[in-house]
Amino acid sequence: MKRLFLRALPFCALLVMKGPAYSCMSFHSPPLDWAKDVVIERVSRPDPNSSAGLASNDPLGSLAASYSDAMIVSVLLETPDGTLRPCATDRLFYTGDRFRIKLVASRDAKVSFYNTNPRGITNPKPVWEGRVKAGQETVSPRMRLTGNTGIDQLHVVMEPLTPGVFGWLTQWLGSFKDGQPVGKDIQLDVQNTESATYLARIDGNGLVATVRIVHNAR
Amino acid sequence: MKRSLLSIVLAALACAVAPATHAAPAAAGEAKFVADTHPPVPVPVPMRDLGEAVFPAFARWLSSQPGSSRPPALPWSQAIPLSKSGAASTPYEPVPVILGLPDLPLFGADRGEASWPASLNYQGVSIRLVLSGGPGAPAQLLPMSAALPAQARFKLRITPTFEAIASVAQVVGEPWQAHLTGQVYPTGGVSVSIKPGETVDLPLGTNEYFMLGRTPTERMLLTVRHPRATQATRSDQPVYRQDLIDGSSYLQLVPRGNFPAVEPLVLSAR
Repeated sequence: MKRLFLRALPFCALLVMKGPAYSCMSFHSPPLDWAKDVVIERVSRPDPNSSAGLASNDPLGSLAASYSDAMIVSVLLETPDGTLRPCATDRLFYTGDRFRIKLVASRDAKVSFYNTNPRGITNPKPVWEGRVKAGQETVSPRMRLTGNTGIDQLHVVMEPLTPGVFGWLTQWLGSFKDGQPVGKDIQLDVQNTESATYLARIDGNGLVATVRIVHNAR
Repeated sequence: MKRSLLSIVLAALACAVAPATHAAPAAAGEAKFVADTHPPVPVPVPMRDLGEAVFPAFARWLSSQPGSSRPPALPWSQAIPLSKSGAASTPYEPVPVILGLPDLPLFGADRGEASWPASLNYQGVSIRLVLSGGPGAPAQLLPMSAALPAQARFKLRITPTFEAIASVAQVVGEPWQAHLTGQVYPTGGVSVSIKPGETVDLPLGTNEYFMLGRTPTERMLLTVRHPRATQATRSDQPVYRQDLIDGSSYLQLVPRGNFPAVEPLVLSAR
């Protein structure tokens, strides 16, 4: 009996600590799409130190403020009448597809696109460069990548604050294999939906999303 | 093993059992008052819910505008010429129109309110194709995604949230190599002025209508913009479009200091 009491003691303590309003059955935690919610919160309130984002009953805002950089990337497939259908970057695209890239970022930043050809060689000269403003959307000019065989990669880069972006990009790409991070150098949260890719990192600045274009007939 | 199982069961029970509040016992005949000493933790609304509410908020505003879905007066007997053959043309690239939901949320709107102040970060316009059904048949209200049959008679019904000016131009040429030939309506270098919330049918004349040419490469470009939306001050943000059964809604993020501009193309069926 004494042993039974001793074993039950921690569970009784649990009952006391959790209290009436915080028991498992009554506590409501809304389901979060994790990276997407955090990224949208982060890019919508670009200044994480603003009081509007850090209310005591705003755990999502507080969590988002802990991320140093966040970005939303969509590939916009274009039709001749000018309408664009948004897709996430993890979808395969095909040679001849006309598309634009849409970005939303958590801070004012320089953005650039770099190309890795089917032979795996990354051109140090960017395909395009532009700027994003926090709280606004940026849409690139129309693009079209063509080729005969293999897969081209287009790296959408939100540049870090330190100079030397190509060296930084090379290091970043080397930290990933088959789209998954190797080691713990980069702590990245990513979520893909049908229409966009949401990226956030907690351990530094600069982000990369990669679009793949397949060069053969569909 | 049995003791371990007992421990697990006890832990599960500890989680499951929970009275909601503490209630002080009431004396006989006394009204019970239960003090809520542990108010529920407010559930934060994820920002994405506010972003997805942009189009529903616009629909709520539009339904409160008189005249936006009234049947048009028929019949129409006078075609407005849309051709500017022989005019000098300039290369034309459509302004991006995204068929999807905006990422950034709507700020400044009161949930449930039907107003659309100029201070909101999004401004929009409803555009409907008003298609003649033929002699004796009622006109139809259609979205901008509806490709017009050849020789169809139509009007454009416009309801903006902002002070706007509207005009129509002609676009010709194959897809990806289009050219703008110039403004075809109204003529004389003027535009049609529309107040916020006002509904206007173009062409303005009660018996007037538009009709696209026989060539499928001929399109019509409608421009609805704020009078101060010049090349330098117009919003450079993409426009989002949502198609409904009886019209299309266009919404654009407008940064402070900029002004909205929406430019949809009207196409004929190929």
